[in-house]
Amino acid sequence: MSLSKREQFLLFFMGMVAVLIFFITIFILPMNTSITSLKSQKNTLQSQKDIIDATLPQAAVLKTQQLTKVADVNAELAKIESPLLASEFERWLLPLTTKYDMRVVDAKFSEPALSTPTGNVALVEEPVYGLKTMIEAYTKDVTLPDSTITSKSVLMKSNYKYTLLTNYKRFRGMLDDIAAWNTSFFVTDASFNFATGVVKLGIDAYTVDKISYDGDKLYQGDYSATGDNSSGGTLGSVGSGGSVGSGGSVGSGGSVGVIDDGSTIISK
Amino acid sequence: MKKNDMNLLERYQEIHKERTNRFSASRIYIVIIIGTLLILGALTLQFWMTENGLKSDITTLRQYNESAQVQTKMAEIAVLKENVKSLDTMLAEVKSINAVFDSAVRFNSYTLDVLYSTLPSNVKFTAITYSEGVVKVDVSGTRPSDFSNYSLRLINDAYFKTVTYSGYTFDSGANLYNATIECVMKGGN
Repeated sequence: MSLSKREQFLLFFMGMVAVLIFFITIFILPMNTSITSLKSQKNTLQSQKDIIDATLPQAAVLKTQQLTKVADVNAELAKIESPLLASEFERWLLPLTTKYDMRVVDAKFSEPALSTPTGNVALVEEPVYGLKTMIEAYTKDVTLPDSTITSKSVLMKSNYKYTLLTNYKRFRGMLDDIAAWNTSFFVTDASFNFATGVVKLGIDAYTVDKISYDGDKLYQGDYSATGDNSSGGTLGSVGSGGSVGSGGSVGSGGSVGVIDDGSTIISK
Repeated sequence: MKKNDMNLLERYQEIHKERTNRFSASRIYIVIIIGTLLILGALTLQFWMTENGLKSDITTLRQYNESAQVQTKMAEIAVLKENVKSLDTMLAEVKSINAVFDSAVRFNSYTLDVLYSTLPSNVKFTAITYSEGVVKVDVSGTRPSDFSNYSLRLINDAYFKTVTYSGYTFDSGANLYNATIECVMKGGN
């Protein structure tokens, strides 16, 4: 059987097409797919490497940043007292009752509870009515509503209530000494009855756990509170100035109370 | 002189046959097949080399990325970043608390001194009560005007946010007027 040239050409052409399809299907397409996939993998890995190369030099900076931020947080946390027990709180207050010769009539302490600090700022609500609003808009003298700084953060809070017998001047001095603690203990309730000399004192102690306990206090040793209001009187000399009572100095500059008959609260 | 005829046909046919042989269809097909196979082979070889090159690159990158040293350092950095982030959150939170404390009302002798220094001479304190930023002063005086005088003095002193009282009573036994003046304290900073 002899083939014409045209038939030969067609056979050749079909053979070539078959060879091409075979190559493309068996070799080129799978390899191309594999290459596309590998390129994608390589790009991903290259991106990871780029990120790694850019990140690795940050280690030193981050370490420094961490140290600085720890110092900043510690400095802020230092303004708030560490969690303390009622017995430890008494080491702050009893030296004052001793210093001012106050009789402690009773004392009640609450268990620590979670609380959001308020700052004890009483807000005053201004009345708002139509004509006032119009006048304020006309005079451009708008009364802003009373406001205070708030925080959503939660701390531990314990409340310590004391009933004491003393005179007005010592009561006054004691309030100053408490304010001079300059810490997160706040007088939330206080009253003085001029007829009986009875002081009712309520103190909220906000506390928080710390990252580092450097500079924290140690409460140790025995303390003998001796105030009995023996010097008597309910008024003392009313007025400002002058020192009252016996005993040493209590606290200074936000530090701790250190009584001159032996340290009862010691900075670590 | 003998004349020789030129036989060009023979030579022409020889050359034509040679040329026909050279460009015969089967030869052309063979050349095309070889050429195609070479091209396809080269293409396959290139693809193979590219694939192997990529595999090699991937292995190198993977080895670098997954090396214990790099992983340890990256883990360390991740921890540092997390620490810095949580410290930032802590700092913001503690600052917000301290801002509240800085703005807190602190009841101390200065408040009592303001109350005392503005007290009219014929008015006496009975009791002073402070609670949650509000000071209530129980006072007694000999005249009904004592309380308005005292309140106005306190208002003009501007130490308190507001100074109010809601009336007074006369105690015939003591022959004194009694009132409670309420003073709302301003916050700190």
